[in-house]
Amino acid sequence: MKKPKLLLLDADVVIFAHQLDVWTSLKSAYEIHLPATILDEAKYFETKQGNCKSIDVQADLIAGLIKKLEADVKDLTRTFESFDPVFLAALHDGEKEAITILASDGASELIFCTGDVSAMKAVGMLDLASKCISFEEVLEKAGLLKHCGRLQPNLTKSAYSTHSAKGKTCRITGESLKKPII
Amino acid sequence: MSQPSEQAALLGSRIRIARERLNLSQEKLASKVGFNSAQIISTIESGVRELKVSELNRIANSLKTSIDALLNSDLQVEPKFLWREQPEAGFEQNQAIFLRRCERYGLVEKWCDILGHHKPMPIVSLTARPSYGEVQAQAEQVRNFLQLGGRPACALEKTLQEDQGVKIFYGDLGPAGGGSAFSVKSWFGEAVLLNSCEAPWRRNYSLAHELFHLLVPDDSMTLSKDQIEILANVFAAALLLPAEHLLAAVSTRESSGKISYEGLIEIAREFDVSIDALLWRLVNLGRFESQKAKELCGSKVLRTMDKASFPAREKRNPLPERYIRLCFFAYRQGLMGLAKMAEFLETGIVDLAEQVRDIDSELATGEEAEVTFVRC
Repeated sequence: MKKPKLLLLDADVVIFAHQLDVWTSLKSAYEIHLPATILDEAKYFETKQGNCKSIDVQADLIAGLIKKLEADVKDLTRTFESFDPVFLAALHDGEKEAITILASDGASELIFCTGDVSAMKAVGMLDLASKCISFEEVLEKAGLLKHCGRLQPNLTKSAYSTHSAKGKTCRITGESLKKPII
Repeated sequence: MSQPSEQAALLGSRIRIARERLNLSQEKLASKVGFNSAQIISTIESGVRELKVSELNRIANSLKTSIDALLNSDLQVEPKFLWREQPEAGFEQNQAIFLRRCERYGLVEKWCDILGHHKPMPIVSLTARPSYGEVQAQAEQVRNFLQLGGRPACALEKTLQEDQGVKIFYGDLGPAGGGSAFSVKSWFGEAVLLNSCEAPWRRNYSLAHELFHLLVPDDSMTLSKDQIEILANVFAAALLLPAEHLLAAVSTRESSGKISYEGLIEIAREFDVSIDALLWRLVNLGRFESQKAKELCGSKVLRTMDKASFPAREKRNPLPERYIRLCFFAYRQGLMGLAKMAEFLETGIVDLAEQVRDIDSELATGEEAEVTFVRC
């Protein structure tokens, strides 16, 4: 049976999913995609003590449990061309790549999940909020929320709705953009 | 062969400039990035080969810069680095790492809206060929302006960081021959890198020396580089060893016109300067003959006693405390994400996530993380 959603995750969410011990369940519930930049930087998923047993996304990739997606630099430049470079610098490169993929024509089925409030604002600024989802909602839809206890504020539906709405407002005010979009 | 787009050609030329700045060959960069031939770098630099985001990320990391700096000319600057005891070779990597840290610091200040909102730097006005006396007088004024008190070395670093917003980093420039310190001025403000391998008193002196360079542009004087370096040392000595306070410290330890080696060492530690800096400052203040200072600098007995008085060396974090605080503030305010903070703090995202989770767990207990001031 086809899995219900195609999820594109950023680094924060991958870490939080491991911390909450729901990574395996998420892989069962969703078809998970990671941007190539995040997979490249997977070494940062190790702790300083080198404890990487629980977070080995490369192994998941090799086993075919997750998929890798890549974006071209020219698409990234086009996606963020209206952004103020100072705001853009606050986005992690993995998030930039994920949003670029999300904004591309071939990503109609993908849903992006991020724990980074700057990325939530960015999707609002690009009018992509309908293609994104909070981590709380991801857990809820997979029936995992009840096992996770109290979530960090940035992972909640409320945080996502607040920050993506802020991004939508930026389209009018021009804040964090070179000029207003609307 | 396909024609490069204007954008790819521009990006390629920026990659080439960043590579050459690091003195890296195309072969070396290809190997660092994981490409199997230098030809790939050549086609990227000429703009013929379009890049994937993950490839550009690897290139940026290998070049000690960021995707943003390579894609946005506004963030790409080539400031002038002013070295104290510049090594003949191998300094490019240190400069690039330092510049990237300064840019990150500047960005965090911009996000927190505090870039450029610091107290002003002191103004130093010197003639084109200043005398030592002129420089010493200006050092005195700077000390008063910064309110450094009678033991300036103890307060200099903190004052410059917290009040004037000078970005002070520590880097491993090696125990000898790797250079002592260097400074730079750009869109992010003034910044200094101190050699973490040096003793604290030598780093204090280097900081005071670099402060002179930050306050007095080299091109405002018609002097050679060596002459300017001497003036920077004169400034550093006068700033860290104020005459009035130093002479008072000497007089309490002087007996019948003599001072013991222990007394000299005590004064050096009290003012947090090296024994050499102290001796030459005393020559300058007319309390020693220069010949005597030379002899003392070469004295094995004095050196051995001095070394025995060294406290255990503390290991310095390469990143300034204020920068770390600002990164956490920016994260809590939603101005940067966890992955970005891990990148900026040069740590693993997992370690950082654990710290953040600990803070959040405490906050989840219901304690408000703010307090209200009493109305005055």
